[in-house]
Amino acid sequence: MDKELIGKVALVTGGTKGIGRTIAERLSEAGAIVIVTARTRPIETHTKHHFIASDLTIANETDKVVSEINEKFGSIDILVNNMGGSTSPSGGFGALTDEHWENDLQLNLQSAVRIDRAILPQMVEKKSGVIIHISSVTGTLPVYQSLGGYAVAKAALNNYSKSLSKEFSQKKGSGWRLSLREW
Amino acid sequence: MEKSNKELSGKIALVTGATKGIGKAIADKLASNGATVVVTARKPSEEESIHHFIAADLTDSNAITELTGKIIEKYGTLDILINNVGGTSSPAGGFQMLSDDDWNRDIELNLLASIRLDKAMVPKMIEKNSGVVIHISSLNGKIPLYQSNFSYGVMKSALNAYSKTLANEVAKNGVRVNTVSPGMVKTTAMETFLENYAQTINKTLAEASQQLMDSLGGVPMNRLAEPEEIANMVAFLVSDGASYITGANMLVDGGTFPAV
Repeated sequence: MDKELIGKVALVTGGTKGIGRTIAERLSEAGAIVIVTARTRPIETHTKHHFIASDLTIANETDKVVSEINEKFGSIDILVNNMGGSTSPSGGFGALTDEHWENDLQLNLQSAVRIDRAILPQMVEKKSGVIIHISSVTGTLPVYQSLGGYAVAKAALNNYSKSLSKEFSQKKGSGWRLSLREW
Repeated sequence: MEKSNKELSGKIALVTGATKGIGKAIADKLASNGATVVVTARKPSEEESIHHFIAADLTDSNAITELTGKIIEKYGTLDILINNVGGTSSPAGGFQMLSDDDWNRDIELNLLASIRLDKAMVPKMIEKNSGVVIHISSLNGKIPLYQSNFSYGVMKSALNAYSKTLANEVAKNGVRVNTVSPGMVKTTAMETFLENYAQTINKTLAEASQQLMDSLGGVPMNRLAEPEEIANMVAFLVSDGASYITGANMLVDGGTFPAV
């Protein structure tokens, strides 16, 4: 693979398993310095990634993670907001309590808002940076049987990501963009 | 009272946030079509009202339990639920102006208030295999506006997704759920919003209004909606004329939404 990301610092949230882990590996193969977060350290550690244990649904964890990265690696060039998911029960509307809704919004929307808020000023300052929000097809095609709160939060994330790209793409230097990925 | 055969005669309707603006227009319209209308707001209106008023702050989940208890006690049922309450007091000026508190407030008022009220009331509708729920959203849910309404638009998108999801789930139970997305409407809330926005961007009220219209890509009808024009759509959606309409998001925007 081309080493097109040499010298870039990338943060992948929820980067120890599944999609996040695959993204982290891919960015790393392309030459980036990759930092991954998750609540718990994986049993099998990838020595080439830098791991920071953090629960980013907790508001003040965000600044801690960002300043640790800035201190050790410098400013962040690539931010992949991959963490997300749901522990809410399936079974439709009646099965979801206030707490389920709040958890789904924290995990899938507000955690990304906070990380973006902490990192965007660095990107704006150097007129360069890329932010990806990993959303879900359920954000446009709701599935009530199993994923009510998750899907609603992903729809919110889609609108949010679009708004953010409109706001910051005009502050552009070269190479500034913001993307939304769905799967 | 004279027994009438208007299309909503005998129906019990609840309209939240209904002492002003769009909510008030909806309440008046449903009443003139024959419904018994219960309205909520945090404070009663200073004007005289023909509707049954119950004070409630819908961002407080206890207030919702109390409200639904009162309605069931007095009327035994609810046929029409209009989730109209919403809005934002978050600052304009884009992403970095918005604190966690701003986001949380917008989430509570524009999404969770509806979810809680639906959760209390929709089971009653399912029981009798009949009912209509409307969520008043905003064109902002489909056209994100970072300059003025960032977090509000995000929550209206969430509300749209939620409304669609609920519609799919309860369609088999005889309950219809629809969304109405107004564009710019002439209300006191809009006036206050424009005044604040004008101040933030250091422009006159007229300039701020024009800028908002421009940021939407232009309003082909070149005017704001009257609240009654939103109420007309709601009145149709809750009537039997809309018996095959569920999961829809109806735009009442003077042609603003640009896509096909």
